[in-house]
Amino acid sequence: MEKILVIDDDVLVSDTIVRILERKGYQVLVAGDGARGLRIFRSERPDLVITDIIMPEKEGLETIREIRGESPDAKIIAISGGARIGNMDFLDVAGKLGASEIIPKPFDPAELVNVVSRCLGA
Amino acid sequence: VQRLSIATRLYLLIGLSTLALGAVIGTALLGSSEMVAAGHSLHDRGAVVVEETSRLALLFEEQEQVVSRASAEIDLNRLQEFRTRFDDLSEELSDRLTRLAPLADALATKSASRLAALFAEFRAHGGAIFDFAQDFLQVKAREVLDGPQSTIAGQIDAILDELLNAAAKTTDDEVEALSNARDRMVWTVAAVSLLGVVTFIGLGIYLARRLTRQLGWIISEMSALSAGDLDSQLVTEGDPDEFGAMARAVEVFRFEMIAGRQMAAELRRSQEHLAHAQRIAHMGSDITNLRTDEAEWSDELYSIFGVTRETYVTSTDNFLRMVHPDDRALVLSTREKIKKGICPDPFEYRIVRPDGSVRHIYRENEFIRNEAGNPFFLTGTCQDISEIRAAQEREKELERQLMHSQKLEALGTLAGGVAHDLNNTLVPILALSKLALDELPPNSPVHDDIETIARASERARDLVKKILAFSRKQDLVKQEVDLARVTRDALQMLRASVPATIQIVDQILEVPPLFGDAGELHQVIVNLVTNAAQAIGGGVGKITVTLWELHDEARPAVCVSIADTGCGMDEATVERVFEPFFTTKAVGDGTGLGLSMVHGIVTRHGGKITIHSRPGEGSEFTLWLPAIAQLQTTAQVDHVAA
Repeated sequence: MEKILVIDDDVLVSDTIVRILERKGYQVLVAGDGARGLRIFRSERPDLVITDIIMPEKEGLETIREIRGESPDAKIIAISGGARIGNMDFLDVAGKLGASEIIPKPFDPAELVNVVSRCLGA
Repeated sequence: VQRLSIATRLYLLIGLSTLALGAVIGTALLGSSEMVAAGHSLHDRGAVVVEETSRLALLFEEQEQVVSRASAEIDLNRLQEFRTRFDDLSEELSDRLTRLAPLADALATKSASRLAALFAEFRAHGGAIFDFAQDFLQVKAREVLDGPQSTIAGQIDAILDELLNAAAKTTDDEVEALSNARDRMVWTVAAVSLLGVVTFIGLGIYLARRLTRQLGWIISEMSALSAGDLDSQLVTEGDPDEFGAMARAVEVFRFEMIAGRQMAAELRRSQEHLAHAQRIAHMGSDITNLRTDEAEWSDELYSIFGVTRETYVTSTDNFLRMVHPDDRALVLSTREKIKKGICPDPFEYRIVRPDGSVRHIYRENEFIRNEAGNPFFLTGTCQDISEIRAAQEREKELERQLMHSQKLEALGTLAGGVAHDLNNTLVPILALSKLALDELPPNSPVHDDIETIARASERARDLVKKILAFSRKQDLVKQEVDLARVTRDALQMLRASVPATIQIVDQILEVPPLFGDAGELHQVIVNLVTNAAQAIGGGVGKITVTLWELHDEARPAVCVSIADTGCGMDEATVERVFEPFFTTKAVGDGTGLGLSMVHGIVTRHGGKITIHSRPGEGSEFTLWLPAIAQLQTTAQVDHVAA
């Protein structure tokens, strides 16, 4: 069973993702911020990481960078509600930092499932 | 000699010359007359001597005859008569000789005394003769006696002749000598007179020449002065006479002219400074006689008013004609104040120049009062502050634009934050409602409910997307876009949705391509035309969409104008129309995001939007979008358009 780590400070979001993915048979781990997410990533070695960008403590972009630094083959999906730095969209930045896929919030469950299965299948 | 005048010199010259000439001529005349007198006297003396001598000779001849006849006489009576006669003659001879003696001696030395002696001897002899006769006359004796008598008589005759000759000769010689002397004197006088005349003429010529020379200097100096040459200086200035005085007067005149010229130069410099200052400050000045209304303007004032001194007549009417119609009342009110003797405070008004351009004038006034304190002149300055006003307007506009963009920026940031949180919130609603729908049987009573929730959440998602389109400068899918084609496509679509009462007129020209996002630009056209249609509402109206290429700017540009005959907007609405969530539509009819999106898209394309609108007169939105700066033939443009 493939293990997916969801990092999001918004419990409503992480709960939703958990519900969608668990129904598709994935094992889903949840972290409320980047630091915890990183710790779980190190201990559990999930097959896929889905991370929000804007979070307290350690935010998403840095988390992506550290995961990618520790594990170059790690599969990461960045999700965001559409925040940006100046003219740069966080999701674009996330893609450049090593996120395999990016999904804007809100999303259709089917869309999420498609992207996840595509990532894991690759 | 202090200041011996020319006149004095002339008087002296003439006086002295006349005096000298008079003296010479007088002396000459005096000498001459004396000589003539002397001549006459000599001549007379000679004549007397000759006459007296001749008389003596005649008397002596008679004496001799008496003696001769007595010696032959024998009649005693007769003899006595002879004797008496002889004595008388002797007496007369003596007398006459005595009288002649001084003259005779002067002519022939001692001739008188010798004659006297001879006369005495002759008398003695004669007496003897008469005595013999007395004693009976001895003729013989007589004859004896006659001998010496004849000798004496001969001697006397000789002396008398000598005396006569001497007298005659002396007189002639002296008269001749005198005549010669007189001639010499006449010549001398003539020569001296000539010398005097020559000297007089010479001195006269000298004086005249000197006079002419000095006059010439002064005349040439005066001519030089009148010709404007102030550098020459008179050499006769030091002379003590009238020429010196005249030269000094001319020098004073020269110095005054130099001073005058310096003053004129200073005045000219001062005027130039003033004119420069006025030109630089764009400030003209004027002075008006309040009684006659005559005004004098400075050059700069003419140029501020755009008129020339030659063609413009300064008068109240002409001035008021140039005042901007909207400001005439203000200007007239200041005139009224001036008439009442109140100096108006500085004020601003506009003028319309003959070429139609409008200038802003800042006017300051001041009265010039007479001794009684009543204003009789009005002087003032007019500063052309048009540039300052224009700069202030530009500054105000820039400030307004800056404030506007800052406001939009802040709103955008706020909207972005709201959008982010909304998106997070929408995640469970959208995802879980869809998830639920998948798992619910279609005939489930809650299926429709859940579906409504899902649709609502989708709409909410689209709404947030719109907010983000305004706030987020997301990467555009930029490529060459033919705006003409995009516009035509959009209009085609819109014609189906816009009410039939609204006519859409398109005036779409071929334009150079833009570099941008065709989808977004499409949305801009749709939004603006939709807005126009909503402004017209349910009534009859017209929307005109125009597209053209603009060459004015440094880079090529494309302009789109969407004009409607709708309700129009007031200034406050125009000011806020791009703000997110700002809407004039009824709640539920619009999101207030359409124009925000348009603004965001146009700005991201490097373009600008301007709005012309008045309530009741419709609105016109004009977009300016930079085109691709490259050379393209018409054929290529057509190809792209196709």
